[in-house]
Amino acid sequence: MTTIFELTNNALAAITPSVSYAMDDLIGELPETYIVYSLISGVGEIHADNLETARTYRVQVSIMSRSGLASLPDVDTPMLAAGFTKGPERPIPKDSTTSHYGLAKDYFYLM
Amino acid sequence: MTTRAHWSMKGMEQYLEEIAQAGIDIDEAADRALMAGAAPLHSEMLQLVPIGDPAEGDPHPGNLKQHIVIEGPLRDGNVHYVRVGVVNADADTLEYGVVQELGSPSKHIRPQSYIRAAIDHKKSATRKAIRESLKSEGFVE
Repeated sequence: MTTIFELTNNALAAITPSVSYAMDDLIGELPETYIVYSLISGVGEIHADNLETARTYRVQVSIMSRSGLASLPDVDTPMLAAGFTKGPERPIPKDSTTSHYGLAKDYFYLM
Repeated sequence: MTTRAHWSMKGMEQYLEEIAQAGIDIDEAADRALMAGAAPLHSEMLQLVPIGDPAEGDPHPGNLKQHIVIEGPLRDGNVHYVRVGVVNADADTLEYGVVQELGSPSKHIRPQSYIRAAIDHKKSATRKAIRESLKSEGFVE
């Protein structure tokens, strides 16, 4: 069975032009723009005969860019194409060390 | 800042208004229902909130947890609400709370969500507690 991590990974691989991405953090020197994602929660939604039959996953995709938030890679299109729905988004405070601005976008997937 | 949840009776204004028109005082019952709903959210946040390790340089382990509170019940006109989370904390605690909730990718700190995850985990329990509280006072079937 496909996991939420594979789904997210495959969706982010489809971003054009491609952007460096990783789960949780990116190792090495940070590029101008990059993406990290994390699983925030997985909650059972439907149960039948004491067994879980559906679960909603909430994934945070953080887009980091040194040139601000005005022009960011299009993450919505590949994530929606992969079956995610859009959730709330919020800015991540600018990193004073690396000068990256950040936008955290939540996506939901019912599996 | 993503450091608290806001739970209100929005969407129920018409229903509450009709009850008020019937001469029944719903205000106190609504406040009690919100406080009942806030309890599972609050306890889940306390369970999920990360606690730093002094050995890893955290000078105030548990400080964020101490600042997770229930504020309310509050009213804005006819809207009743409560706030659950990091409320009225100092700027350093708020910043720490945001970094824990959202992570800081440039500093390789992954998110350890205690606000959004608590809402996701306890959405049903919160709604149920609100409904049960109102039900016990005879307001909903």
